[in-house]
Amino acid sequence: MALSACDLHVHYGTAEAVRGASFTVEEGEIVALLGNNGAGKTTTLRAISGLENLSAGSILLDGEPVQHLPAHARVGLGIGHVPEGKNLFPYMTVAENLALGAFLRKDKAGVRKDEEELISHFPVLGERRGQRAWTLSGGEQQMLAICRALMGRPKVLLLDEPSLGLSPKMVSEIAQMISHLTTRGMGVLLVEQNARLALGVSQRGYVLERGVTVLEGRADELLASEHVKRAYLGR
Amino acid sequence: MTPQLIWQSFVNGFALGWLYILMALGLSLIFGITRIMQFAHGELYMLGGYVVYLLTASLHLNLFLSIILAMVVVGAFGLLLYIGLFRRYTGQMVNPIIISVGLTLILQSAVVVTFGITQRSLPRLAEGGLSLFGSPVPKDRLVVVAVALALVVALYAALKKHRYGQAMVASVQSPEGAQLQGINLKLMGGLSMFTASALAAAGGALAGSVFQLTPYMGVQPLVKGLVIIVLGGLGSVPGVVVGGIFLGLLDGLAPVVLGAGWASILPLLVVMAVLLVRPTGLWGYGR
Ligand SMILES: Nc1ncnc2c1ncn2[C@@H]1O[C@H](COP(=O)(O)OP(=O)(O)OP(=O)(O)O)[C@@H](O)[C@H]1O
Ligand SMILES: [Mg+2]
Repeated sequence: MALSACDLHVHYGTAEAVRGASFTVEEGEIVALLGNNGAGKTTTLRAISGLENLSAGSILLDGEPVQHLPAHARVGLGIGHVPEGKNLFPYMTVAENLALGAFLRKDKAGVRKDEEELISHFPVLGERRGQRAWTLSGGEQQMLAICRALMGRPKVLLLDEPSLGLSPKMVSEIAQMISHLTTRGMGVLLVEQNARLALGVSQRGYVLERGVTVLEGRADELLASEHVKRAYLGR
Repeated sequence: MTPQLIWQSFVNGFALGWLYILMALGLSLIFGITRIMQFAHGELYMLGGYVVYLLTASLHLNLFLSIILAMVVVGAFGLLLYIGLFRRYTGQMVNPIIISVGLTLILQSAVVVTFGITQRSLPRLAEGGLSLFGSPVPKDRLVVVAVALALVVALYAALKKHRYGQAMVASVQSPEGAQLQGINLKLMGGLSMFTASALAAAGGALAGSVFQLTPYMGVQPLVKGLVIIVLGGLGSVPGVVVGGIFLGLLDGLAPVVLGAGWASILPLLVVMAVLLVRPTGLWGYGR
């Protein structure tokens, strides 16, 4: 099991935004985390990568507890996070952003190879290598944010609404790329408003309601579930 | 007001500008990464001068070797201040201000107690002068500019090319983004404090050699440093360089050309004017 979260609780001041989220992500698996606005999806991802503190619960990465570690140390253990809002380095170039994604890596040759591979998938990043990140379009920025995270070779990648602001063509390119990377064993936890899209690319999924994971199942089961259809597929 | 006097003031102001630049770059680096306004940064500048005084007067070390040693010593002192005092208040507004203002008074008093209130002087950086565009220039002013320029170029190159330099820049531009790439923000805070304190120490040592050493010599450069950050925009090395030279020239020339009264308020008028037109500073990143 690559990632296992057990009974996560997160508070903002006195308000409890997540109050009992549990899920697992296996190696090479794409798992969707569905939920309405304000359900606590972003907060859950931030707690896993260490940007928010847990008030209770545990997070295991390859069986080892990581919840007591600061965010930067979790990166070294294999958690990659493309956060809501991307958090690119806006006045640094595309190339510099990508290089920082590999900040902890020592294998220079491997880093160069990975960058070439990513650019071959997303040639626009190659064309814009020397351009500052803020000059990119929203979709290009999202691509850059994902590629920067991939440069760190995470064991588990947390994606917060990657389709936001992307054209359908870009969405399918990114979906292909992600699927390709899972064949190497990377696990993905995918947060999406667009439930149909998320369940289309994932093997399993969870439904988060008011901070609690209330439903889990295989993607096809969830797609067929009356509850999911009513609440998330607009029927 | 003779042409010679104006030229002299111009040269002095230009050299002064580079001392301000060393100050402002450090302040901007510290603030960018830790969000702390280091009001005691002027006292680290002053301490740089006094450490060089100790090394040259008591140990009879070479002036330039002493400056390098002072940078290391004061840099380490700045790092200790960060670890011992500032780090625990990361993210807070009021406590770091109280600490840094208090530190200003403590360090000034400590130097008064140790060295007395009288001025001290350091050995000259260089003797004599040479002729530039047919006008005389004291060599020590040129050495000030050369040393400061070398330090600024080294910092700029490190921020652009070195792994940790890039990590510092990243931490300024997006603290969360930096953490998510595995960058330790507290380590970057310590690194920025060390680097900035070392730069300030170099500035103070150069100033102590060209001008005088006093326990209060850091106050003026601190104020100028803050003004430059506002003028140049936080986080931009070229912005700080232009702002520093501009302010130095203003300080050098205004008293001679316009009289002392105008000279004291002109820099503030300029800052107000710039901020009215460009609220994020001339090169501002708009953060
Ligand atoms: N920084 C914050 N401070 C206080 N409350 C917050 C903060 N961030 C989120 N919340 C609250 O926590 C709850 C969960 O928010 P979260 O952003 O995790 O939801 P989400 O599922 O990602 O929603 P969306 O689909 O809109 O992105 C919401 O009620 C939100 O108002
Ligand atoms: Mg969200």
